[in-house]
Amino acid sequence: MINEEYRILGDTVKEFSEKNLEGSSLKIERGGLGDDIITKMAAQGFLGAKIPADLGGSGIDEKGYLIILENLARVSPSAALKVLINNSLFYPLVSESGDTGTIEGVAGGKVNATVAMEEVQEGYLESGKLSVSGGRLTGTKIGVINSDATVVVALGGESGKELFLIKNGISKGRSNPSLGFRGLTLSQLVVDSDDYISLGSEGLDRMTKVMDSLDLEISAIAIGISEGSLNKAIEYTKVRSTFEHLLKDYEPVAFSLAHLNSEIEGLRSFLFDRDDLNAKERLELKFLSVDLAKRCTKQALQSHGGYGYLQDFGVEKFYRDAMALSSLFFRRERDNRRLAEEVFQGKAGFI
Amino acid sequence: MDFDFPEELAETRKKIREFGLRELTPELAEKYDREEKYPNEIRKKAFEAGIINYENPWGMLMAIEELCRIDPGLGISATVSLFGEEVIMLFGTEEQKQKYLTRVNSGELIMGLAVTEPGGGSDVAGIKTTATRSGDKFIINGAKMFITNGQIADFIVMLVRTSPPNGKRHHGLSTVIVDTKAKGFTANKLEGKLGVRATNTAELVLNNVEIPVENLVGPEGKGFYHIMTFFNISRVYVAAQGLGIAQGALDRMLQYIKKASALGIAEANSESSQFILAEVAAKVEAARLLTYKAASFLFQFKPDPIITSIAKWHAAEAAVFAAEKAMELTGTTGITSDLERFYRDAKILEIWEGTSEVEKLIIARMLTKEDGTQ
Ligand SMILES: Cc1cc2nc3c(=O)[nH]c(=O)nc-3n(C[C@H](O)[C@H](O)[C@H](O)COP(=O)(O)OP(=O)(O)OC[C@H]3O[C@@H](n4cnc5c(N)ncnc54)[C@H](O)[C@@H]3O)c2cc1C
Repeated sequence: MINEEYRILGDTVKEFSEKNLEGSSLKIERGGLGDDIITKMAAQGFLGAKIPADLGGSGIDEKGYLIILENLARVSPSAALKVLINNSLFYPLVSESGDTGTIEGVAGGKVNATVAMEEVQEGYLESGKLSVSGGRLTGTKIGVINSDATVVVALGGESGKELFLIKNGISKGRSNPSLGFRGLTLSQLVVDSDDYISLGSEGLDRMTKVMDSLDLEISAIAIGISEGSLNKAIEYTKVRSTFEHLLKDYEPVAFSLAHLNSEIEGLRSFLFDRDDLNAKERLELKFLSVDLAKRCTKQALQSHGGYGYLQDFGVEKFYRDAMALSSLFFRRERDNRRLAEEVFQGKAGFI
Repeated sequence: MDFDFPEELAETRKKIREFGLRELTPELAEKYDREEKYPNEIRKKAFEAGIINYENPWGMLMAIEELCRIDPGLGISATVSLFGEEVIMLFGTEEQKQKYLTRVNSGELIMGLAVTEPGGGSDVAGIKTTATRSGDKFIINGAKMFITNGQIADFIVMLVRTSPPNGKRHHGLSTVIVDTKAKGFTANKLEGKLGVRATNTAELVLNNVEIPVENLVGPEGKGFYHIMTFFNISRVYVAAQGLGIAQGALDRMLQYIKKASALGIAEANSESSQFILAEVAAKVEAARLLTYKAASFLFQFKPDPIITSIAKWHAAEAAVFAAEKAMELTGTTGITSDLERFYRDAKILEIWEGTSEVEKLIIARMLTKEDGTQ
């Protein structure tokens, strides 16, 4: 795609978000994304954005895909995460399964899929193993996001490292109080399936690699969250007064929002203006963007005073989502070590 | 200078903690948060158990701290039913004390304090609600916003404008007691809060609400001073909320490290994890010292507004910092545990009873005033 096309794509996603997500923002937070929005997102090609066209997707390039994530996250981080789950988690893990029907279903929004990632998020194999016995795959997975899914990719088997594509017998277990991404459910997932495919014994490695390759996607969502929350704060402080002055006229308010805005602009250009980011730069972007999202959303909430604490003003969700993004996709030790190794060109930061 | 509490208070703390662990169960904490419901039963039990005892201010402070450490939403709900009583205690008549305070202190009545309005909270002098004298009555019109206990309170101490500002915005304000059953009084529960969802928060609408003139608390026109005096007291208790939440987050970090280390996960106790733990512990300890210092001045009837505001600001920041770091350390374990609730609950402390920005303004203005710079 050429620059003009990226610009048009950005405007289209922005318009879509404002038209279909902004007005339903509270509904999404309270009751989930819902079939209507999923259908609309599918019609735009977002749900299969990166999946090849011959498998029912849009086959868009990386930059275009990041533009979609960023502009959805500006309004609904849950919608952005749904796109990420389909395209950057589910698809890479099942692309060689030969199950084109399921992939097409996911790309077209007909099949709701997710990936249970607890082992790679936590960095260890502990509970919730899935075991195979008598032709059935059974067990429980914890902390699964988008757990309303009917198709799941998860690790299990004797070693706990075998990858499975599970196509039936999935139900939600104990649901977790959902800090963020309330448009998607977070809960345990109970599996008792007789329709599943093994995707190989190297599952843990593959899942780890997939997780390691999300740096730019997570950055795009984090930047979107930052922009969405900061824009709300900037608009609010232009109209709210205390002590007979507009909030924007107070130095601490104006300076902090302005500084955050510069950081967003810096990171946006880091993310979008270069086509040749190396592994180290990608990771740096993730560190900086996730950190910025947490700081931006906190300041945005704070600038709204008491109203920031209420769902109706649409800013507290960003505060929750920024931390949820960090909890689910930023693995403190692993990512720090990856970064240190890139900087030191070898093993570093392990004692 | 002795940093240890006397044995009697150490016993009180123990008793509070035992009560909290017994009554503020994880199931109830999760339920009241999910349902956004006020836990009146827990409040009543806290009174019955002697946990809420206004005659023992250090005990009260500890109750807030220890219960918030177990669960902020339930802890605040259980200890907030007397919110605002100092206004009557310090400025009210004997009759008002008899009629209201005795019953609030016994747990029979619930009260609230209403300052904030839809148009503003930080700017106390900017309130618009009016109380107009008509014979032996005041007629109140206006709206109050974000009022804790608003929908469940029996009466509310309210800041109202009784005469025009006449050039000085903080003049012409008064504090009055409003019966929540009065005609023209409506409380609309505010739902969808980020945290402290067990606490009851409401918007109050006052449409020609009549109150007898005897309900004026203290002299007419001194309301601004009453509220500022009150904040110098209540902020110490908010600091205790912060201290409790910060300590609660630290407790959970320690539990996580122990559990994960026992499972053989070396990184849970890596040097970088230890540094995070140490940083949180240091903030908690500083919050503890500041809170107790502010309380010590207050309980000796010589409150220090600078120390109080520093304590409130720092303890609020410590709570938010500790909850944030605990979430970062524990990853998906944290997000699927009660830590996520601590993270949501902690943020209120930087907003209510003076935002962090307002506290900083107070600190700086008082310092420069003392210094003669202003
Ligand atoms: C759950 C909850 C319970 C509450 N309970 C009560 C209660 O029981 N009784 C009651 O009276 N109130 C209550 N409040 C209200 C609370 O005290 C106010 O929200 C708070 O004082 C801030 O006022 P505001 O919301 O109007 O924000 P604003 O005053 O509009 O402030 C918005 C932002 O601007 C900042 N700001 C304002 N002025 C300046 C300045 N000069 N310089 C720099 N920054 C500035 C503020 O710090 C804040 O970040 C409650 C609020 C909540 C959310």
